[in-house]
Amino acid sequence: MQDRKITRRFFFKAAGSFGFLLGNAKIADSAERIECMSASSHSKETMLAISDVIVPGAKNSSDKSQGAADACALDIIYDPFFGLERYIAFLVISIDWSSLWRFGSLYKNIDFEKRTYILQLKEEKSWFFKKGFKGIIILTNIAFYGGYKNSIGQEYIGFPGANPGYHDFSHEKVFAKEKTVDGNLK
Amino acid sequence: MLEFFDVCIIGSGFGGAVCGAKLSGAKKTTLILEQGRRWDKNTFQQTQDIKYLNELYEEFEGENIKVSTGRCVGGGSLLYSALSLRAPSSVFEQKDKNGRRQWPSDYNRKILNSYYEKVEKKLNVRQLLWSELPKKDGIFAKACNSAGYTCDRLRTAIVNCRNCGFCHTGCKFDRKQSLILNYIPEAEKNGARIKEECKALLVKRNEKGYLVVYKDLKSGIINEVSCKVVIVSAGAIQSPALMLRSKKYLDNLSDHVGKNLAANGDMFLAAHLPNEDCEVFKGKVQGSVTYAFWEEGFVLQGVGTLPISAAVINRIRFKNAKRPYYWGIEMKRVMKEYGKHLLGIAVIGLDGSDGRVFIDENDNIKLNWSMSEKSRRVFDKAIARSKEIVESLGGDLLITEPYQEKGEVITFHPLGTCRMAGDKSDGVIDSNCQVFGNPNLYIVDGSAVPSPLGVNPSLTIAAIAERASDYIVQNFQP
Repeated sequence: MQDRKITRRFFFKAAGSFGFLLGNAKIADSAERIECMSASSHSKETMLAISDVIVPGAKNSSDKSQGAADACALDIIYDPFFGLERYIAFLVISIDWSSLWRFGSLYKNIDFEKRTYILQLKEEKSWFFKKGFKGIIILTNIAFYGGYKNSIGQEYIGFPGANPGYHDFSHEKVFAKEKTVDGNLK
Repeated sequence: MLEFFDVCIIGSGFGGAVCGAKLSGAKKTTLILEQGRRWDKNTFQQTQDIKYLNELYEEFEGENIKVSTGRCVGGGSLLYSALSLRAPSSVFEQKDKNGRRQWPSDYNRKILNSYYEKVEKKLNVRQLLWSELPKKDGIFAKACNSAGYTCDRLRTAIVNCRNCGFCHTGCKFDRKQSLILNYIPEAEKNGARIKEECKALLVKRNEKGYLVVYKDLKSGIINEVSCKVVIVSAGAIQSPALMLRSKKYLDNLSDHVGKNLAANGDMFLAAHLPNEDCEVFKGKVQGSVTYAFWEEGFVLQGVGTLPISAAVINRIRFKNAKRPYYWGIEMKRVMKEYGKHLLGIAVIGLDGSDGRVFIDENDNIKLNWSMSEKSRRVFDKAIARSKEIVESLGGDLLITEPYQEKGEVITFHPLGTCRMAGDKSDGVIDSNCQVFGNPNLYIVDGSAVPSPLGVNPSLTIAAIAERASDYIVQNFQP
């Protein structure tokens, strides 16, 4: 993808959007966590768009399988226990700024390929973004593969989760010669 | 009011629990301080819930190294795979880069064998049958055989396993022989007192013996206890930290405290075997080992892994994956294989003890790891051999991030940070685990083990604790 040439119109549009975003950004601290949980819908929509790139849903998966949004990724991203919500405002501003710069539109409004491109670019180029983004990757993966709220991700990968034990756990064959008499090396 | 005990033990893992049972059995009034809380089959959960795991595990993240340890009454025994192996004879003959023997001259496998036997009996250790091997271990053995190597069934401390695959979150069926089923109840039956959620802050020498300052983590109150003998068994990260914090209250503590941190050659690898039925989530977490590469300094074990470990900690990917590697379509593509065709491979080996534990100016525990040529050689060879094995079955070795991409070490078996030695110039404690220059102060846990073991260390730590306990009982002065 080619970088967009910066025109005067684009510059003012981007600067205006940046100012708007900055003005709306809430930098949460521990006392504001409840408020952060109900952060602006723009912030949530952007985080949802990011998580959908991390674990793509039906629209963007070749096998039409469910993704992060279906696994309630936002619930874990905004869970105060993980302490990520305080960085979200900065991440949203940062990624929207890049998206405006490259594609002239907010991150949540660009298509899947462009979203992936922006995240990859930010992960590579911005140390600060990378730190926060790493947290979002971890939590989104936990939401999906870890079955944080529901088991759709676990079902997708074939992990049944809690169980009383298995009877068909073994192939029950001798597969190799052994080096030791009792399992301990002398 | 200041309480008095004959013995105060700090930590309740394989060192502390064994010492607790033995010393209380010898009629010594015994207190065990444990910073974690009690768990049992009724409170264990089969889950990947991070909040739950966060209560059981303690994570230490340092420069190029991550260490994971147990934080509960019974320590790592609640969370381990129950593998119970004796350290091979050659381990005790290892020499460091200066040609110095790493173990004291009066330590060898033959001497430890009688102690190994005691622990094995207590923990019901036996070798698995082939019919008890999970599918993934059968496939691992098949792959070893296909590549022309031997593969042995492991020895475990598990009785009538239900094969649910959740060894690492605590056994809900009391089949895994954790210390809460044997040594700890024995200690309590003998009259030992366990104070859970109490963290030792300092050990001070006084005229009667020692004063242990600890914090009750529930109430936040700081207390003291007086005792004749102190046994520090808080593990290879917390024990050196406690000793360093207590340095000014003790006599001539060795400069080796915190140094020589070994990761026991731990590395996690994963393989994709598209033609094999691995079902990595079923059965015991580990059941097979190949000793074929012992001369090269490592063993390889088949291992099961929870999905979050594969996706989040080890960040697996296919070798031909397109960027981005660790998120997006590629991660979903590799994880889709989890249930059927993924196989974990655990490397355990003789690394160069390249790490260090220290306390920073803000009193925080810090770790670092500076990869030596010896360690790199072991890890690189282990990767090459694993690749050879899985390719012999038409599989591929996956890329795992920590070592292969970032040169980081992740270990569940930290060792060596208060190592035993023949004299103070080489280590922190003598071969009886007594701290040089500080009579009746002992360190009995993974930190005492002076070299990597190349096999899972729990049985060796427990055997050292059995031996040290005999010495402490024999030399106890009322």
